[in-house]
Amino acid sequence: MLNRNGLLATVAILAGMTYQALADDFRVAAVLPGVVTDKSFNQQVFEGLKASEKLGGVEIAYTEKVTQAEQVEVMSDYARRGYNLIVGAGGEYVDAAKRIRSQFPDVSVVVLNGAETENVTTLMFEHEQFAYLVGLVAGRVSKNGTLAALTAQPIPAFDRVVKGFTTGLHVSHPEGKVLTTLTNDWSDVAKAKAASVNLISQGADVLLPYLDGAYLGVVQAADEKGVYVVGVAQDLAVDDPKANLFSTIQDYGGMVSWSVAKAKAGELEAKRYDFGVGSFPNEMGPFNDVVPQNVRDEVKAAVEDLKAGKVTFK
Amino acid sequence: MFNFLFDAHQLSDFLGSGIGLSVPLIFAAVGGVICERAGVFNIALEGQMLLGALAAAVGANLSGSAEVGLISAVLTGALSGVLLSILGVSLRGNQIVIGLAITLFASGFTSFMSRVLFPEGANSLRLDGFRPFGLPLLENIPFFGKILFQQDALFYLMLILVAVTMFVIYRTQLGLSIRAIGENPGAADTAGVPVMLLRYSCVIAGSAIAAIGGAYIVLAQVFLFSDNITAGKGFIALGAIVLGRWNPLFATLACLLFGVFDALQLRMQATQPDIPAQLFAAMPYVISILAFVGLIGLVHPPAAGGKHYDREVR
Repeated sequence: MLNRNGLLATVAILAGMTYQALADDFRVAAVLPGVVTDKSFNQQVFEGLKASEKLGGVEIAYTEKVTQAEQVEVMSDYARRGYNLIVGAGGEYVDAAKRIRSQFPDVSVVVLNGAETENVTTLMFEHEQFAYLVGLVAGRVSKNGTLAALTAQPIPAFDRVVKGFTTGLHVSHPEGKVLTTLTNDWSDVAKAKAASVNLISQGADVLLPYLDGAYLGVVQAADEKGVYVVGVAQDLAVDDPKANLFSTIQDYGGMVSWSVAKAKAGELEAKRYDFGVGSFPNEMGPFNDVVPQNVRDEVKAAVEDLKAGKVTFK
Repeated sequence: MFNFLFDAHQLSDFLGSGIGLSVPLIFAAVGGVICERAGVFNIALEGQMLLGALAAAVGANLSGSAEVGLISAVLTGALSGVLLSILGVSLRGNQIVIGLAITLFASGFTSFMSRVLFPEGANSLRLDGFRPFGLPLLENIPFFGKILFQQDALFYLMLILVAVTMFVIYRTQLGLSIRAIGENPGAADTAGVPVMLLRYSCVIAGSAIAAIGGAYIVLAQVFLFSDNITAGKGFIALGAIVLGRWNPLFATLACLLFGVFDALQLRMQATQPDIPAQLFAAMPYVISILAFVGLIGLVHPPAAGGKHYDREVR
């Protein structure tokens, strides 16, 4: 009898502890458009989420492959279950975020790469700055001043990338141009590859993929045709050090764990935060051997110019 | 706008990528035609391509040989055909629902299995696939030799497959029986045609062929696997079957139409930045609607398509 009572007591204490842990933990959920193994945007967000667990007292959860139609459903489910912070991974989440905020005012909602939205925290990389750096290098290496950029669908972030990329190119080729192609599918590797081959045959000799899983098709096409790629969001040298000319890294993981820490401390405001060059460590990958030293120095100087706000984009 | 049509090098690049985009569609469409001619709707083409793609990646990765990858894709596709036949032919389930179920299952199953089987990420693979080789004499034909006869083994397999399917369906006793059970299984049964056996065989063969379409993407185009790598090509193939009036050769031409116009729109986007890219993206579909309207004559699908056959029921 005593034993049983003891057991019950233990169970009660354990249950109490679990409850305590749940009640005290800061609970964060990420809602992702793709899969966490895409070696790209979704994976970065996931890594950042995992990293924020190390802050202590943070409990994480995530949902993959959330379509536009399911966004509100999935996010409000997290809100009902008492999550304190919900991260919408991508600008397409702003509308859903707005609705969640109006229904659950106590829940913080962060949207990565979103347009500035009332009542929602949007975190935004200054894409022009990163794209400017890779455009600078691409222009110096390009033989004819024709570059190309690929994405799936027209999104504001891509327009900003192209703007920065073109500005960077014009440093060396004032008349140079950037060809753009939309493949209509973020994960169709074969189509991205076909589109890249087409761009290369039109004279583009440095390509910039702005895609999810499909970026590998661009890298492969460049490798096979003997031209180069530059990465603006992630280090393409990891996939192909031969074809990668130079990559900047937009550390979405760092962005996520920054926002978790800030929200946990109660300092995260519902406004837009901009992240330019210099916001996170490890923002640049290695240079390809074909990039001469003076260009590498030029990039270093450009980083300082960007930080000082000396570069204008039009 | 159409300058590239007069530049042999650019034109062959353009046609090459158009044909490359068509090949997976052609395998799926021919497989689908075989099923539908026998009176069984195969809406599962997309799922079967996806299963074939994963099986090809697994087989080629474990054995180091592209042929083993192809064989495992064929077997996996055949297995999905067995499933479709049992549920849709013997158990008389609704073939549309079963086809969709197989596609949905394949989408989740392949994502899951690729994470289990490739912990490093299936998109880091560099598989030993089928590489292009020239056919003696034929490859020396000016211009077309390079496009049609410097291809990989799967491409040649596709040419043979289309020819053989055409011959079997329209020129043999077996083909007559297949067409008969698709039109009027009762009459065919009276004449001694084994309806069930033939339906099973056609669905299994057609499914295996559709799976080769997925294997082609993995083993001849991108040499890796990533989630949802088929990106809806199976559904486009369904459209090609209707556009091709359930004739393997016309369905092949319909796939080429899709593929070539897809390549054309990718190319024109890059050269015509002032025209909205969505207009170009819609082009293959607009063209197919025009082709559909322009093809005068009655659309005559197999009369018994999707209808269950029971000898005991009138």
